[in-house]
Amino acid sequence: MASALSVEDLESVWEQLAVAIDRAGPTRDRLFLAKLAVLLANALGDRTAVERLIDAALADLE
Amino acid sequence: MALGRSIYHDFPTYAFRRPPELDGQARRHPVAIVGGGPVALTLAIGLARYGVPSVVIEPRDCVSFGSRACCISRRSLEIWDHFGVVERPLAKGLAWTGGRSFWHGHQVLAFEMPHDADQKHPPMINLQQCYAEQFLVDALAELPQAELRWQSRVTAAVPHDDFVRLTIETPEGVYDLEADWVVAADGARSFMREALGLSLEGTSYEGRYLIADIRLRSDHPTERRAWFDPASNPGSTVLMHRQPDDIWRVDYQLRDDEDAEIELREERVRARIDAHLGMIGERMDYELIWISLYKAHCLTLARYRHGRVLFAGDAAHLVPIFGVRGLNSGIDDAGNLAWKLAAVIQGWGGEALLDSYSHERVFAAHENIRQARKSTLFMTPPSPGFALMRDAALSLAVRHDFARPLVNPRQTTAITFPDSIINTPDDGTGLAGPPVGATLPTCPVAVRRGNRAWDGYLLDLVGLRPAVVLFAGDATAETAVQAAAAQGPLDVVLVTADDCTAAHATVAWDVRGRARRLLDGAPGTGYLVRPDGHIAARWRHFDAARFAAAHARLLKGGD
Repeated sequence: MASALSVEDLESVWEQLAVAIDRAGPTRDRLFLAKLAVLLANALGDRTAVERLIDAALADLE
Repeated sequence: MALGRSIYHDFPTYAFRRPPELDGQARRHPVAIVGGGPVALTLAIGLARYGVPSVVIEPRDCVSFGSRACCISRRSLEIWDHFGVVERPLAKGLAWTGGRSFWHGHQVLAFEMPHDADQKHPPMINLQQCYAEQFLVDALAELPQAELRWQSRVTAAVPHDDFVRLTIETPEGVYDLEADWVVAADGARSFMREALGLSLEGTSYEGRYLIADIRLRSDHPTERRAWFDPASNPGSTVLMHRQPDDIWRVDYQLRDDEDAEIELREERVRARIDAHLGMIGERMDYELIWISLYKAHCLTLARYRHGRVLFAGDAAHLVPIFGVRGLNSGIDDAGNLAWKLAAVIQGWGGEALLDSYSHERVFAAHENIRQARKSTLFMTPPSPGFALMRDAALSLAVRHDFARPLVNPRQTTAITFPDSIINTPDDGTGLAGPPVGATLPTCPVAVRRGNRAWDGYLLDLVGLRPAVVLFAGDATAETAVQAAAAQGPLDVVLVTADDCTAAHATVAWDVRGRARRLLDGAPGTGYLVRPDGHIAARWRHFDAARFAAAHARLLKGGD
């Protein structure tokens, strides 16, 4: 998958996600991530692309 | 189960009446209906309107107990109206149009069902099933064509090529009854299904709901309320509906770790309801009168016609409670079957109409299951993944409009049959308005029939026979449909812009221009409408040959 964000932006988003997960806390981090996934999917507006990304995220979980 | 004596006990019981068959006087019945629930009763009343006699066979000696299916949809009301039995349910029932959902103290959804000033009936009424059944039993008693045999249980069914033999057990002995056609409307645990060696196919869900009726004085309006993960019942979903007689339906989900046997105990139910009423600020004492346990099923038979046996209602399909498609889809079955069976018996329709019944109503069951399944996944998430995504949707719905459809309870609406074998597909001339297979929308019109005049509704002008709804102004079309009506079963409804009368048609004077807008009407535009209100064919420009073919196809039951 080609990079669509600049390395700098990607690093920034990656860091903000880490901070947000910590802010959500251990009992709410799953809920936060699930909400974020739905928000991103809606913003992307492309069902096929979302389905591809779901598969991509499911890969290499171990 | 009942908890003490309540209004649900105040329904009459019926004595067994000895039928002629027990004294050796057998005669062939045109129709036997197995089961005496609301689907069976609606069908028997519908057939009686056509003058088709039927015998309804019911093991109990009274209507079913408790509130059970308590939401009656507009479509069901239209069918009851068509059969002349809507008045009492409407008078007793509580009309409502929408509801609200809450999550952790936030209101996450306020929904409205489709409703406007054109409608004759509300989108939904709440009425306990025992009342609905009693009203239908009372209506049936006034119809000489229909006979309701209480305390009679079918214990064997043997189908033959041209009739079915039922063995019936009664308090005074066993007898055989022969019928040309048998309708199995004997409920979720249908004996008829078993007798014919048929099984339902599909999925059952593990999630359990406890349903409790309480008597409570409250001024809260009639609406559907849902609370997800409320403080009163953490981890559960609670629903509340108002019913007549100060009865409130409280449904709540049992968590997977809760033992149903323990949770069904009166003190446990009370504790949960106490907590819930406390949370929503209801301070009055209440009486707990009826509780029941519910599990969701998405099941249907593959076909509803098996020779001379036709399946309807819960005997044919089980859909989850959410969205109220159970009883309502059964009434829709009855509305679909009544005219087809009458047409076949009276010889004005082909036997293939009964195949179209199966085709259409199996399609409807799949459609109902598809919608209700989504609601079930939301109301009783079957896995941690569904539970998490449900919570995500609820949390997003607090402030994001786009997420609210995920939270919507998807209340039942009328179903369109796009591929019915009795439809005539569009000719491509482009007509807005309802598509072929949809139900005809209604609106107020001024009706003129002969020298009588009254204010009515468009849909009410579709009677017991197929009807053509034609926009006036195309003399050739008017002459042609009137000639067709003189030849065979067809009523003509002429929609006019001005007040006038017609010699061979009912005139619907479109006083407010609503019919023209709803149906995209211009001179010669028309809709061929089945007795159950579904559109079989439509056209922008009338074509006599195409109309004749569509009418023939509708009566014959396909090509």
